[in-house]
Amino acid sequence: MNRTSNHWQAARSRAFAAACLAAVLGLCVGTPARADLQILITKGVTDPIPIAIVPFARAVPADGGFDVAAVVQHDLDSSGRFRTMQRKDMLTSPSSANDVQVADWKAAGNDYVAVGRVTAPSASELDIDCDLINSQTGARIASQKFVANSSSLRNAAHLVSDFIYEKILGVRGAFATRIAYVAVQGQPPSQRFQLIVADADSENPKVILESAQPIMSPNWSPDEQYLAYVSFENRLSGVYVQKVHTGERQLVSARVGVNGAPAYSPDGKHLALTLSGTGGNLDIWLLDLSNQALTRLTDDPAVDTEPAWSPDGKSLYFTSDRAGGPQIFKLDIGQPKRVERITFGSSYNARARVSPDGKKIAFVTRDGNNYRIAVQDLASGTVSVLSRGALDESPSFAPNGAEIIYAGRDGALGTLQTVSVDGLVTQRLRSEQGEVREPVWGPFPR
Amino acid sequence: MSERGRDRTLSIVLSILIHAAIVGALVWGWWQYRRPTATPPSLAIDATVVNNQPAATPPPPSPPPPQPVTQPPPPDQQAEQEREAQQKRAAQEQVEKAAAEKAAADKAAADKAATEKAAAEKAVADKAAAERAAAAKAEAEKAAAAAAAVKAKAEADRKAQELALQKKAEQERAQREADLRSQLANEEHVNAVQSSPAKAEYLALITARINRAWIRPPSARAGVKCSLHITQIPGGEITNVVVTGCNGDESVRQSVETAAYRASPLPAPPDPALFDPNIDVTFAPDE
Repeated sequence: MNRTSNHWQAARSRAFAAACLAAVLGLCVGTPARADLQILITKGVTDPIPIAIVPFARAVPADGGFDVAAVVQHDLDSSGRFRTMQRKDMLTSPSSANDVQVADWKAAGNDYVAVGRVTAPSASELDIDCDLINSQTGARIASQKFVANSSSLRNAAHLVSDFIYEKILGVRGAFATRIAYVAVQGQPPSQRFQLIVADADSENPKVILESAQPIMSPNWSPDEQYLAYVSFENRLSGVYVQKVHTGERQLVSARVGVNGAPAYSPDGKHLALTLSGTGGNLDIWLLDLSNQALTRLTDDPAVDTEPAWSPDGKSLYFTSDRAGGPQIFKLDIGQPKRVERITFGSSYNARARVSPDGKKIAFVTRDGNNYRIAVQDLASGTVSVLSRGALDESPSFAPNGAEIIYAGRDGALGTLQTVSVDGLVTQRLRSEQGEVREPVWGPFPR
Repeated sequence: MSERGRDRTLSIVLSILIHAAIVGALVWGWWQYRRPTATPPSLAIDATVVNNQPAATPPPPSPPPPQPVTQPPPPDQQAEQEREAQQKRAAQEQVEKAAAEKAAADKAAADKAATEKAAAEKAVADKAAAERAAAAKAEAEKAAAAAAAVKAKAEADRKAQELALQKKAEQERAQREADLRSQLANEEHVNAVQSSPAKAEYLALITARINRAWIRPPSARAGVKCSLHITQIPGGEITNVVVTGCNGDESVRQSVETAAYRASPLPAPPDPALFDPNIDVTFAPDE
């Protein structure tokens, strides 16, 4: 009996101990095993990312004194997405990831460090090697070699910028792309019109056509080899296609009336055009570049002009005053009579360009008494006015969709400006005496 | 004085009377019993009996000294002779009796002495024995006391040790209880603050800090979700960041990991009880 009682007590105490253990374990299980503090981040900021572009090791004298890191630094700064460290604040100049003391660069406020070196493996070749390090996490993110020569070193430097931009932002950089625009010098009647092609940073500009008569509506071919444009060089409008590299060109449309607003189709085989014909009413036509065949796309008593292709080549966005004032409409290439109005809200919405992903259009909108650049999300219809000028015109998306280039006025000066698609970063690229008109951002080189 | 003198005279008279009476009685007795009766032997026995209790009863007072016959009555010749013989016999008897009495007295004395001596000796022996016994007893008692003392000391030591252990156990138990209470109180406090505005404030502080630190890349759009586990130390310094899950691209991954380190040091909690080294952060852009 006594033994039984003892056993019972022992069993009870064991049960009690087990209960205690279970309670303790229960507490452990009851509280979240990993963390009690749960944080949700939904916004973030679009501050420029702090980065140090350390001067690259030189290949003297083969590199001709070209400062690769300076070009990269300027590219990144001008994008508005980065804030580069001043060189004078750099205490060391490592040229390889192995020599980077990560903590020092982090302490100096950098999230990233890019180091590199230019080498001349042969008389005709210059290589750029770049290492990208995350100084916050200490991780070496990527390394890449860029092969160039003495004449392409600048472009290679832009490619280094693209590499850094893409590795950090996840978006292909558009520094190694080109822009085209029209510059106008002088006052009527003695004006000079120039068609200029430049690097995306507006450096290295080259005049590919110069005329005493107006040059209008430059448009890049999808392969970035040609520019289509309207020239009044014969006092009549004609649409030309010119090979940028050679200057070789071809008149593709010189019909009666207006020949205007050429737009290469995404496959490069067609041009959408605005033609007036003899009636004088502007409509959108499709020109087959292989056989000059014309197909009418719009047939409306109102003005239909400024066609812009969707990236899939199935639709055209265009400006029409068929509803009164100018607004953006969209037509289906397969069924041109199916037209849909896209823009509302403002009494003036014109000259649409479609984003590379096809999800947005940029256009000129009247905003009070000003003409400004706006972006509309095609799915939601949400419109954002991005620019701050009084007479901004001719928006064009960068091929990565991150920025829009447009023309502005600053008193007597015409300016090339860019704005990020979120409207947060604006950059002035170039100011010319006179006007700069109709900048167009070229596609990625193939 | 005169009264005392009268008393003395009275005493003398009475003494004479008593002696005379005694003599008379003796004469009467002799006359009455011609043959003197032998001294019954029982006397010795009596003495023996007396001897048996010497210490108890003190010896009787010394017997009165033999009284000489002062004036024998002059008898006639025959009577004189007879009286003389009788007197002789009486004297003889007297002598014998005295001798016997003396012997008895002597014997009694001797017996008494012996008895006394024996008693004394016995007393001495007894005393010695008693003393020895007492000594032995004392010795034994002393030894016993010593042993008892040792035992008591051992016992006391053991008890003290036990007490100390008990006390220690008690203290430890008390400490454990205090710790437990403190822990419970702390947990209660933690539980209390967990649901208090202070926790919401702390979470808001951390959220704001990390939000400011997160430079959101263009690819971080709605639908992207990245989870981090951050480890902080007191003071808020972030010592470790683990990406536990991320459906975004490499730049999103980089951005959230970088954001965590950029947020270091994290803000201090409004209440220290809210500090937790482990923080789960989810980056989920809402647009």
